[in-house]
This record gives sequence, structure tokens and C-alpha cells, in this order.
Amino acid sequence: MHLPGVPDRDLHLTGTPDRDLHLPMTRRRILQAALLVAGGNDDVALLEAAAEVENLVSAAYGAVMALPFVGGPDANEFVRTFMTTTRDEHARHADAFNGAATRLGGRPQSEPDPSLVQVVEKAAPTLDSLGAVVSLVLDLEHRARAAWQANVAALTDPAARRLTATVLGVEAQHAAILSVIDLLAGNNAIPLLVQPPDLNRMPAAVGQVIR
Amino acid sequence: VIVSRRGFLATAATAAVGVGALGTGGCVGPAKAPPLDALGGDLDTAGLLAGLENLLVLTYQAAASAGPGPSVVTTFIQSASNHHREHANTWNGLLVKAGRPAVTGPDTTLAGGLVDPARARVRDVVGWARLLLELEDVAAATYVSALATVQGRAPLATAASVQPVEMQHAAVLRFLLGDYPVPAAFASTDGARTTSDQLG
Repeated sequence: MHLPGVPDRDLHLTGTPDRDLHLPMTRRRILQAALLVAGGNDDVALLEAAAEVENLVSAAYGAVMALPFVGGPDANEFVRTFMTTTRDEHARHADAFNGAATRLGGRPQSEPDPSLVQVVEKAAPTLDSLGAVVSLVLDLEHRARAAWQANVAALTDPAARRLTATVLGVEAQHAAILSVIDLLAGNNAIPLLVQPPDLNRMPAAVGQVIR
Repeated sequence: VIVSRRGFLATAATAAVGVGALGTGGCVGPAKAPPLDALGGDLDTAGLLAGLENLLVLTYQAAASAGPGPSVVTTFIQSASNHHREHANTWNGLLVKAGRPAVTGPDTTLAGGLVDPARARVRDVVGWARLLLELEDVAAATYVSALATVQGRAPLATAASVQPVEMQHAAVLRFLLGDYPVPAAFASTDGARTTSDQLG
């Protein structure tokens, strides 16, 4: 993955700089896919797929951190901290989903979700501003939240369901704060992103970013 | 990136279950849960959550009437209050549909144990925000707990759609208070209320 504005190196979702993402479909995954298409349920497949989604989202945050206006020394400190922390939280989600899948007989997944790789690759050439970056990761957070919301109802293993419930709201929190950043970026008000914020200068619209 | 046949098959496969929501924004998994009206425990949980939502509405209203504050806080209070009213209405809709009376009062156990004593100490907008945050955290924890236990399709779907909103309220409140807005990678059930709470 290459992002504009990064002069020294390409950005790779896997963190492996010299190869594209080749995503082999194992025989086992094909069988799982067939099962799911047939309308059956498979907690292991859901959890493995969830780990891949988290791998992708974590890698996307990691990739955009290489952009100077996100992770550079002159970037807004709150933004830099949020992006770094959120990347790490998604990595922990991936670990947790992998752990749950393994407990149920699955295998840990280290690759990113292939359909979301396409989303990131499509957006990569447009990532020339903080607003564009936030738009991408906000989209990924929304997709993850929608998926976990559905998975809570689909999972049959109680522990897997509980785990998904604990991840669901955290993705929503990421999205809420990204919406705040997006709003302030759109109003050229990123300097207001300090902790603690000056409430008297904070736009009223920040109070209704949750929809 | 080379997207292989695996990607195509995975997309097709997951369209039938939750992860399919990644592409469509709303596909719901196979329906296996029993109907709401068969589950008394679910209805007790629905009543608890309605009572919690009512308490949140009342507390937000009290905060709103406490005096003018920064416009961002005023706007947040109005917005979140509306959300909680909608949540309460949704839970009560489920209860009434199942033949139970709507819960129109608050969770009085939580009101007496947390909200009333805290309200007596609140002096300014920051104090109100801290109290609202504490309540939002309790609500979010209760929803996480409910998501692990309820069985009916309707209450499960409702809890799964409301819990993220409560957590977003908490995140924005933390941001406004100057705290880090996402304090943990996993939501907690610490402080979750139970159906033994009294409802007003």
C-alpha cells in the first residue's frame, strides 16, 4: 500500500515492505465458506473472519501513522495519540478473536480481511489530508461495528458472544471521536483538539456527533 | 494487492452471516433465537433497561435545567437525552408487545444509590458531566451484560444497537472532560445493574 506524502517508503498493511498481499484460500476456508453460504452457522469462521477484519483495521491505522500530518512530529498530539492507541486496541481485538477461534478449534489469522484491503487500497491515493484519513478509518470503524452488531446475534458460543459484545462498543467509541476530529478538521479547527479542551470555544456541533 | 478467489468466496460466504455487514452495512446473521414473548428473563432485562434509560433521561433533564453552560455541552445534553428517550420507548414497545406494562419510572435502586447523593454534590457543569458519565458507564456495562445473556431476537438486536450509543456518549463526555475518550480496549461489565433493581 502506498500513500501520498510519504517520501521514503511505501506503506504496507502487513508491515512487510516488499510484498503485495497474496491471500490464498485454504481448503478449510473454502469448506467453511460453503457451510456459511448454505445457511449454517460456524462460530469459528465468524471469529477467524473477525480477526482478519481487526488485522486490517489495525494495519490501516498503522499505515496512516506514517503520514506526517497524522503521526509526524508536527501532527496534532491528540490525533497522534488517538491513532496510535486505536491501532493498538484493534490489534488486541484481533488477538482476542484469534484466541477465541483457537479455543473453539480454529486457527489464528494473521492476514487482513481481503474485501477491506480493497477499500483501503481504493482510498490510499486520496489520503492527502487529515479529513481524508479520518474518512477512511471512520468507514472501517463503521463497517466493523455493523459486523460485530450482527455477530452478537449470530454467535452461539457464549464466551465468543460476550467477547464480541465487549468489542462492539469500543469500535463505536473510536467512531465517535473520529467524528469529532472530522468535524474539527472540516472547520480548520484542529488546534482545538487539546486535552482538556476549551469548552467555550468548542463548536456546538461536537455535541451531536453521535447519530 | 492481489485479491484471490479466496476474497471472492469469503465475501460471498460472509454475506450470509454477521461479517457480511462489512460490505452491506446491515446484514444480520441466521435467526436462531427464540421469540421475545417466550422469554420471561429477557422481559425482566428489558424492564431493567427501560428503567435505566428513564433514569438517564431524568438526569440529563436535571443537568439541562441546572443553568446555561458552554453550547457544546448544552447541545450534547439535548442530543443524548433524546437518544435515551428513544431507547426507553423502544424497550417499552417490546414490553407492551409482549403483554407487560411499560416501565415509566427510573431504576430507583440506582437513583437512590448513585444519582441522588451525587446530585446533591454537583456544583457546576463539570460535576454534571461527571455524574452523567458515571451513569453512561453503568448503562453501557449493563448492556454488555445483557448482550451476553438475552436470548430473544428483538431484545438482542435492540441491546446490540443501543449499547454502542451509550458507549459513544461516554466517549464524548470523557473527551469534553479532558479524559482520554476510549479508556479500555474492551468494554466492561463492572457496575452492571441486575434485574433485582427496583423500578419506579
